[in-house]
Amino acid sequence: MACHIQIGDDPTIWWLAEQIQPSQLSQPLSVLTWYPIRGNLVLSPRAANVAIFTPPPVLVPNPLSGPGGLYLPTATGPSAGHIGYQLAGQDPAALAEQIQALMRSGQSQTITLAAGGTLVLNGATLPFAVTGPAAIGGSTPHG
Amino acid sequence: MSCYLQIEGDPAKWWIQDQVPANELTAGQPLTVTSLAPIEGILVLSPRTATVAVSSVPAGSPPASLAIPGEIIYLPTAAGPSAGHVGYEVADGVDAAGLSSQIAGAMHAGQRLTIALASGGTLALNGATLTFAVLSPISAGASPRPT
Repeated sequence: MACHIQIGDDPTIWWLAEQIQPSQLSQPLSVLTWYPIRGNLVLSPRAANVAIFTPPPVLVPNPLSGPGGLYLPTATGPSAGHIGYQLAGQDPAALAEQIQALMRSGQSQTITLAAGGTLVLNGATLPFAVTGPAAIGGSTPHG
Repeated sequence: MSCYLQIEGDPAKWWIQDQVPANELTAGQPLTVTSLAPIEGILVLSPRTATVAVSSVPAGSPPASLAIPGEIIYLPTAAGPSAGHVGYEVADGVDAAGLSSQIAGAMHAGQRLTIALASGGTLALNGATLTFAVLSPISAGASPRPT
């Protein structure tokens, strides 16, 4: 069964592909997210608060599209055309695994951005990240 | 004299009932105070909070508090509370004073706490990183317990 979650002070409600339990939150967790970004959501055990909801059985809306690759928490959440940092060709799934490892070790890592910049992630304090988008398809049955 | 707190990245001014001596904010213990506005309730403040500004207003008075749909818990947001957005509604029968003690205990110990929500969902709190929480309403006769 799928679920919705809301993390910390980011206002986004994330539609996950699977149900998660509070007991799973004591370790870094990587789950598939359908909306608003289709990708891998990596959740840190250091997140201050996580609300978990069971949604009604409805179709998932189409995810946001646009150049992206790595969404990090913001005060407004993602929106069309603003779905995070564009990466310099890194594999989203591999990056999700790296971020999960960072959260586990509490270490930092730099990531090269498509624009030529560098992103520094601190695994000790980052509450969550979403890598993606994964392969885009149509609406997906939910619930 | 009135007083309000501004806590880390949450933009709300939390008007509180009593002055908070600065030494209580640095004592390393969770602090529980009565909040008057924007939500009337019990505010539990973590000793791990990075920044707290305490402002005294000699001639001011708190603004009206927001309407509360039921028993709620407000957690820090980037926008602060507003009408219709006052936090999560907790399941029936959850006592604000009792829950505030549990949250203060979780903050003190750096432990996790789960709370049942009215929607059937669950709220998972991490006492090691949560900066503050506000619980409302305060049931008749209840008052914040010293922590």
